[in-house]
Amino acid sequence: MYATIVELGRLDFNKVKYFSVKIEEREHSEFMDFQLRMRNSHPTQLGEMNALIKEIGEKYGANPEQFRDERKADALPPETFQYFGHDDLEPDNLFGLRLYCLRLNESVVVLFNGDLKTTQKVDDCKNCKRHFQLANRITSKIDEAIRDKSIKPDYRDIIGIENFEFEI
Amino acid sequence: MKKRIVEDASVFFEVLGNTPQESKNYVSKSMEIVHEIILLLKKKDMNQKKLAQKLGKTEAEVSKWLSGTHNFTVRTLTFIETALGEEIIVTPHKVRSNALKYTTAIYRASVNEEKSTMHNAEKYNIKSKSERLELSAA
Repeated sequence: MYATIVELGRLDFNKVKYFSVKIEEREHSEFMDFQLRMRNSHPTQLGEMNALIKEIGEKYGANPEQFRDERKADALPPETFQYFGHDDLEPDNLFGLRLYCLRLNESVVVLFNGDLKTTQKVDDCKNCKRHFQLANRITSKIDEAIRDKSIKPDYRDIIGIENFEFEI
Repeated sequence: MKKRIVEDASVFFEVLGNTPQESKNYVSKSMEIVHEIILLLKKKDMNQKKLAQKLGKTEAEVSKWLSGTHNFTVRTLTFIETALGEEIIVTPHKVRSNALKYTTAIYRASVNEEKSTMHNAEKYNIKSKSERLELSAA
């Protein structure tokens, strides 16, 4: 399967421009798939996640402290974040929503997919494991492409994504 | 050269529009507080390590607090305010009260200045308003 980096319309704020990744033959990018799946099951937490993305984008820029480490990839929200709304209907809502991503610099973040995390270790989580693994595979490919100069993260842009396609 | 793919992200904004205001305020306020602490650290020429030492905490703990979204208790904020010697959260009442004190001080200063001008006018036997204003400007 091949994938490309895509722009997300209007997710281009004063300090951060957000991108996502679209895998061929899938209808939506990974980030929009996350939005569409979570908006019914966890609307409040998703709203808080989106508020966080907007705040970072509009006011503060993508600082490393605002992201959690997920091996090679990153994720939102940061470690100390406690969701305000709990979407209480979910019985095993212990760890909240995770959105895997890759922070390339203070003004460029690539948003992947995610889900509700139900266990301490991601490898034990039936929801998040596959998104975590995919995020790390994509991150390796993007890192490789930056190293071989196929693409270049710039100020609120990634140069070269028009011609960049990678196998996952 | 191929064209860039731009995906419609209107769902993101729809979700945000349907999110309770208190949830959005919570995220915004949490980040604002941390940003204020970071600005105060810069102002005081302090780093996280120094703040941790002053608070008797580990640097890792302080670093976690400053991740942008820590749910601070008033107790923790008070410790940080004391360590930094500055206020992080100021209530609107306090802002109004400080503004009133400031306005009163300015008013008193201007009254005192006027009294002093009048006194000088009498002392030097200056009669006209324009002469008084000239003296005041001097």
